[in-house]
Amino acid sequence: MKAKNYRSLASRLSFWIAFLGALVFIGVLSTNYFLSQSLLKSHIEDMAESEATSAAREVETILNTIATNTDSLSSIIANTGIKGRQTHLVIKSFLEKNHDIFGMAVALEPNTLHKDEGEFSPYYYRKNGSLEYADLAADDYQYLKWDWYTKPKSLNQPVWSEPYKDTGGGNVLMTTYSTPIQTGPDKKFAGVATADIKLRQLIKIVKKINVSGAGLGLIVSSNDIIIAHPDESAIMQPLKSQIRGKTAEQKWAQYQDSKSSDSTVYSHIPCSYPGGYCWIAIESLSKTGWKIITLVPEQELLSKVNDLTAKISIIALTGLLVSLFVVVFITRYFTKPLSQLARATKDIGTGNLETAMPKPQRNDEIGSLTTDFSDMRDALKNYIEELQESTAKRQKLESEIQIAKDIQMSMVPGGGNISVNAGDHQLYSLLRPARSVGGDLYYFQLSEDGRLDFIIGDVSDKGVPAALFMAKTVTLYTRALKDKLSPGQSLTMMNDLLVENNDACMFVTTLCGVLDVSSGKLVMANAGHMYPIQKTADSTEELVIDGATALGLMEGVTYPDVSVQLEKNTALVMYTDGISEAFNSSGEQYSEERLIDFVGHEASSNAGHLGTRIMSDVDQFADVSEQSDDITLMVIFYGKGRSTPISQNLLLTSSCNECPKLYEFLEDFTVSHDMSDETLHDLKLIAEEIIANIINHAYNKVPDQKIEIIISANNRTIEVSFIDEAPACNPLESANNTDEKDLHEGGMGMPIIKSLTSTRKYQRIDNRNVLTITKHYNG
Amino acid sequence: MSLKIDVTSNHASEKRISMTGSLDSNTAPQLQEAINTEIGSNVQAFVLNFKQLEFLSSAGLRVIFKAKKLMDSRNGKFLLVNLQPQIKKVFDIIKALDGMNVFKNEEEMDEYLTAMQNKVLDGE
Repeated sequence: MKAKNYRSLASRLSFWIAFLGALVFIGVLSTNYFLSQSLLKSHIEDMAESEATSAAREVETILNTIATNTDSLSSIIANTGIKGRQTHLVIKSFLEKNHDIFGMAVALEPNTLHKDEGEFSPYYYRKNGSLEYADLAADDYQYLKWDWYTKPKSLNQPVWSEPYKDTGGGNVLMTTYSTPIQTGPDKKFAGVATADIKLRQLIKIVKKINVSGAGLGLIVSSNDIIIAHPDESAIMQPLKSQIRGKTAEQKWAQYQDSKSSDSTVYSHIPCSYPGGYCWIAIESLSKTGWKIITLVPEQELLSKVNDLTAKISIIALTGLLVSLFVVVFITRYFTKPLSQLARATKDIGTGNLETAMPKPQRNDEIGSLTTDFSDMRDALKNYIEELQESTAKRQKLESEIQIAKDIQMSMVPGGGNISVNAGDHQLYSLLRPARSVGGDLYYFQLSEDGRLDFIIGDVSDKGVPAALFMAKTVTLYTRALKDKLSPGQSLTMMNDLLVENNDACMFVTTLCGVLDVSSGKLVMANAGHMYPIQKTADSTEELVIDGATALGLMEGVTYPDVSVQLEKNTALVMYTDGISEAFNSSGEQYSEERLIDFVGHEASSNAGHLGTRIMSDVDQFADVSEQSDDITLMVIFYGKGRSTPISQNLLLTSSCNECPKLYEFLEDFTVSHDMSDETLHDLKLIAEEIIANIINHAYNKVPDQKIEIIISANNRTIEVSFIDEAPACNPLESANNTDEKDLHEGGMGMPIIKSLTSTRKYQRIDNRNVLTITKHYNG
Repeated sequence: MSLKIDVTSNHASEKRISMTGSLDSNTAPQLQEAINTEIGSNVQAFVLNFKQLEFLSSAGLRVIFKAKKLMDSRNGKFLLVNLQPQIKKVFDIIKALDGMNVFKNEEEMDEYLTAMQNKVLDGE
């Protein structure tokens, strides 16, 4: 039977391994994702902070250098008293020494340091690798109005300017450090010394800021204007262009208020970068009020984690696919013999035992299973072959035994079950082997002169050997009959011949007798057999017939004739030990006593009736127990009246197959009465027509119904009665109106019967149809 | 006793059935079956040979009459040959031989069949 949802072992195994692998993979991957994310988050703050701090140091170093140099310049101008052309030289020498400085200037308050000097402001800056000069005191510049001059003047302390685009000479984005030149003990303002730094210089620094490969750095001035940014277009823009939203403003204000000099980190701040949120680290520069900001877009950072996760996924997925492929391959490889075995077994199941079994490939469970299946197939094949062989042998033997049984039964009169009436006298005999064939026997011959010869015997052993010995015994007895020997002479002769070459030491116990039905004179001889039971009107007892040992045992034994005069109405019951030793299910024997008792209590002495009553009592006693020995029973009833005519009867069933039995019966009858072939033919025709009529009309073709035929001959007249138990049906009446040439069934039978018989008589007796016909015959 | 049936055929249009044994209520169905098989629509002459038949009852007669009726209906020839005394007796009892083509032996019958054949040929 094929399973509803057939899936191979390989696919199931692969599925579950892949499923588990996928589960593990998903678990590991998500754990990795979240772990690396949180790890990154905790590190990012430190990183951003440290980046901001280190950038701040670098910027401060530069700024300090500028401030220090400028302060030195201021001090030199204030204290050395140099002026005019010398001032130019000092400025240039500072620039030559400090490459971080883009340009330097000195701007003097008119007539303060030197009374005779008006506006004076030489400015040197770098251009194409050399120093260029610009006079800031020129009419088109008017340095006294610029913030870099006015702011330190009013505050009287150094000032870093907001970034601006200089038009004085550099024409570049820059920021300027201006420190006042103070003279005298009262530190009177006498002008400023300045140094410019190109914003490009700061940009270089912020460009280096990098947090785990992400993010950027920027510098804002104290007025929140961006002065350095990797993207130059953002420079001079307000900080709001980078960080915006309420949260950002609040955080920014909070930071400004705290006046913290330490670096501070904020996370999840709205920003104008992909993803909209950034980490921010802020570091303030103490002197300038500038702030270095490290900005890391969250998305950029997470995208790194995602990239990592994606890479891991691809590797894991590839691994999973490879392992799945390997699993499928391996399970296929291992279960291949199983599928082959399954196919072969299915084939065997349909009866094809020649199916090639797969060869065991490996020494494992599957291998041994395959070997076992091959062995089983071979054993099955052998078994079936042996079975076929033995069945054929048995069938042959059975058919032979059946033939043997038929032959054996044909050797005894009536085929093993017969009733004979001779006037008031009757004989009933039955032979029932325990197996198909047996060793019991009976035989009788009723001569027209009123002499009844009979024999009953029991061969030692059962089955085929006994049957062969039985056949020999019966043959010898028929020879004795031909020689008209007395019972004693018969047994003596038979014994001598049976002893010869009897190497198997088989023997047969027999009772042999001859009854003169006209006088009741009985002569019997006994060869080791049980005595007959004699039932008279007054008593029932064993009739002692002394004899000698069983036939076949000893050479030269003489068997005496024992003469008995039978009273009228005497029944003689002879039997074999199959009856007296019949067992019931409790293991009890039927016993001779019980038989004698039963016979004594039977009212009827009619042979047929008494015989069937004894058999049914024995059968009832044995019940379900198997018949252990051959059974033979012979009952002879010696009546009082005339001994003729001698009649014989035959029991048939309502089937056309019985014809051969009927013909045989009639043939036996006509032969024993020396009737002609023509008479036999006529009798056969009459009987065939009448019985066909009974089967087709009286019994209406119902099978297995009884038909009895009683035939007798006396004074050249044959009388035959046909008896059936069907509802009343008179064939003589129904035939009268039938057209002779009518093709309907029975139409032609009656004319034939009429033309071949002398008289025809129909009677209804005891619910039975009895049709009696008579016919004359010539010898 | 059983019935043995032999079928011979000289022409496609002729069938001969020879019976051996006993034709009674037991064996009549056998003959009926043989006739059903052998009398095809092209059979114009049907011969029943009784030479070996030992016994015949009315059950057998019915089958024979049925076969005759069948041949009559197609204007075919229905011939009986070699009726033994005991068989003829059964036919006689019911006077069934009137109007039947009965031949003592096969030579006589063959002569008749040849004559019929020629007659048909001459007529054509």
